[in-house]
Amino acid sequence: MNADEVIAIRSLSRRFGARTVLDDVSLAVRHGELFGIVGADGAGKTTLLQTVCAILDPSAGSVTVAGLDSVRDAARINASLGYVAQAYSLYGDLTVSENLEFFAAIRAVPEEAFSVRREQLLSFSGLAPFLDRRASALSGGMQKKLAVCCSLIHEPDILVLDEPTLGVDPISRRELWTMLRDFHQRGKTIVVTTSYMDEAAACDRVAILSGGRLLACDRPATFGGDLEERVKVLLAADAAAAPAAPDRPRPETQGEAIRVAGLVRRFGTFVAVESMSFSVARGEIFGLLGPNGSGKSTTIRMLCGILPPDGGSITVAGIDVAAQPVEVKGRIGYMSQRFSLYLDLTVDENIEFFGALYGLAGETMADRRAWVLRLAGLGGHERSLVKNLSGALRQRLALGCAVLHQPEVLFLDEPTSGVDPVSRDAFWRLIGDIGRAGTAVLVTTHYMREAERCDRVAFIDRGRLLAIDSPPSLRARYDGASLEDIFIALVTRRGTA
Amino acid sequence: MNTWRVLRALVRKEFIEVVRDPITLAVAVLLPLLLLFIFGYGLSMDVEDVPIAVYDQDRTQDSQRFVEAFVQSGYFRLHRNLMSPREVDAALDRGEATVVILIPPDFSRTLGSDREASVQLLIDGSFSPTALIVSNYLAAVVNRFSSGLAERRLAELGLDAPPPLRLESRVWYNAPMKTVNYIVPGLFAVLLMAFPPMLTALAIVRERERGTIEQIYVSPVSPALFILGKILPYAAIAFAEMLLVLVVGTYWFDIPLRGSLALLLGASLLYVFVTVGLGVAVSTVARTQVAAVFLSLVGTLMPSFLFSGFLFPIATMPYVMQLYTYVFPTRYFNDISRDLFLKGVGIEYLWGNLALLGLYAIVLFGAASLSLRKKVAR
Repeated sequence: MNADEVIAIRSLSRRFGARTVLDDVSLAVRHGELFGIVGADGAGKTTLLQTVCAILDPSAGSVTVAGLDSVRDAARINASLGYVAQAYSLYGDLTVSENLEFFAAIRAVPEEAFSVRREQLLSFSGLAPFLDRRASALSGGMQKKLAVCCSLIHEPDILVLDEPTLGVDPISRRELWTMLRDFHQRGKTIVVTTSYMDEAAACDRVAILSGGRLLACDRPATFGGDLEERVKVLLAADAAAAPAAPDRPRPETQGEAIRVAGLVRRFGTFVAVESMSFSVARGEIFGLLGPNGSGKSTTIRMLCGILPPDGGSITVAGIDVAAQPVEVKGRIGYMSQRFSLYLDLTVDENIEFFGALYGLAGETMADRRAWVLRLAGLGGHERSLVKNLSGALRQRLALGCAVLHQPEVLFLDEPTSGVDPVSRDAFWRLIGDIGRAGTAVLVTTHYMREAERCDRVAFIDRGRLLAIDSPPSLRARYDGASLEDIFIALVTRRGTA
Repeated sequence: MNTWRVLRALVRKEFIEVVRDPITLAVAVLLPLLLLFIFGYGLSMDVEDVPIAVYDQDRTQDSQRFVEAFVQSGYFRLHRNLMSPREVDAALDRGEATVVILIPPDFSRTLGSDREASVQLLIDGSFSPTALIVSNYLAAVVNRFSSGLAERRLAELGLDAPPPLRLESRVWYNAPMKTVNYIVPGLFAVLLMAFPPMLTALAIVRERERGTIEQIYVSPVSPALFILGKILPYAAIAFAEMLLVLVVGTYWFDIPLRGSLALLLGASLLYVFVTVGLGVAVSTVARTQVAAVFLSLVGTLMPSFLFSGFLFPIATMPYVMQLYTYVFPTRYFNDISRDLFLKGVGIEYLWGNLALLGLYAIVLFGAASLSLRKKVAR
């Protein structure tokens, strides 16, 4: 064994029943390395991390961590690791400080060491002002930071993180990475999975997984050029998928699909949305961008007529939402990051159910069903149970079900959260198709690269609109900076002001 | 040793979660009280004030005295007089009367003759346990009436009645034969089997569902310690629940506790570990919180009602079911509780059941600790 190797994975396979999730994977992580793992949904990333943490035994092959075998010495590996699982793994009913205390206690951190580390971690993560807040009441980004703090409380030599930045806004994402880099600079080893290629590019080495096999493992620079594009090509080639065609240009459309004027919403004394005004044209793809808790979901809920505003007016598809909240529902489609599909029904049964909800029947239903299957590329999966579909297929089915009734306006709330770059790409082409058919699309996302594909974007923070324009004009206004940099500049400037 | 600190942290965390989740707290405290009142009031097999209807075709002083004998016994009340045979059926069908007394036209005449007089009593037997009791009471009233008749006839002939054989039955342990006196002590056994196992199972399955258990897996906490960290707080909650229903049950329903309170509390403590341990056992099988609820309902609550002797005497069950009651621990605590409340026996009669409960608790804890492997999948 190379003395440098802190994690050695040899011919690792893992099966669940008949399904092979990891297939003969061999790789080594060196001491003090920042090691990234990327791959499509279902590629085996989480399973790989779980075997490294010794909470899952290999079906074949072996995993050694710091010279300890993951099956025989599981307890000692557990003690030397920190693991941030994809689920938040925090006790929601416990406060920030109670969570820290709990994890310190079960990790047997001595009292004196605990108080010192607690202070360091709190000041570093910016969680100090929220000590007495329950974990469940923190924003997604803060919960992740707390989860990382809880995993670092026993000063492990190795930190393993499963998609820590999933569903986290760009600013919290940057802060999280500052925490990780600081930990790394103290000579510790980090293994992290991610669906952000800029994060992968910042790693010392990156492993690309596809269908449970290791496609490549090397320094990001050796992949050449833009990592996201390279990964897309590699994954697409592996899945024998057609290479992505560029978006076709969209025809100019006429007419207004959404008009919002002076919108206000308060929860108690907290102002969630403050005098917001914007409009979206028919067929336009409009991105609503903002940090966690900035008012995006509140705005969408009001536009859908499921949350009454405290002031201002909303017109969606020509209907005054406040006056006719029921009428508007037949004209809109909605898809959230939770997908809202029935997992125990087949693809066909889901389509039929959602069609029936919107009163589709007979020939219309058959037409729309065929259209959705074609649009989502679900041909051949009609009789599959949804719970057996990959995340990417579920996502496309959810989109299909949301547009079955040909809505005039489509709302997408973080529809691509946690989906790999190739599937995200395919998904955005679908959004383009829907826009070309004349449907206005209002979409929220934390992936700023995706936001570039919108016709126009609006940046919001703390319920207020900061900027609204097309991505090229925004870039021109900010000296060619990326949307992500513009986002961070806008939001932090407002925060410090 | 760090074990204490870890255990303290586990227990403390569990308490905080319970206190901050009003629903759990309500299930733990309010539901048992609710059931206590429902069963204390609703489940009475006491026979009193039974409505009777009379179809008197004789209409004489004798027949009236006969009917009067039932009312005077204190257990029956005359609901109404019936006028035709058709009304007899209707009175029973509608449930107006539990008993119908049919007096034939020649009742008085045959009483005065040497022939045997007969009357017919119809009893609503749709709920057999009370019908049986009612029929016994009726027989007693009729017996007393006919021996009174005999005495009178002998007196008329100037003879002294021979001293009769007097039956002196005395009911021990539950002298007033009040149902509530044996329902409530049995209810303690059932209530502790109803909610604590479910709460415990939910507490573990919830961690699995939310993913927090993965943090436990990757920590040095041993399976036994984790299980103990679940058992202790829920056993404490269950014990508090026991104290609550004990205090309310005995004072409100005025149940006498004849045996030792200390012994009852000790046995409760032992039993509480068994019920919570069963909850842990449920959690090893259930993958989701919904499954945990249903499994606890079917696996602990229902058998505690049916197979503990709480409602249905074990002695009258089919043999196979009787065997099952030996496996299910509620039977032992039910016996202990009733023996302590009603008979007031000492530990010399109870140690067998106590030992079985202790053994049960240890086996459950051991099995749960061994079966919890710190892995996310097999």
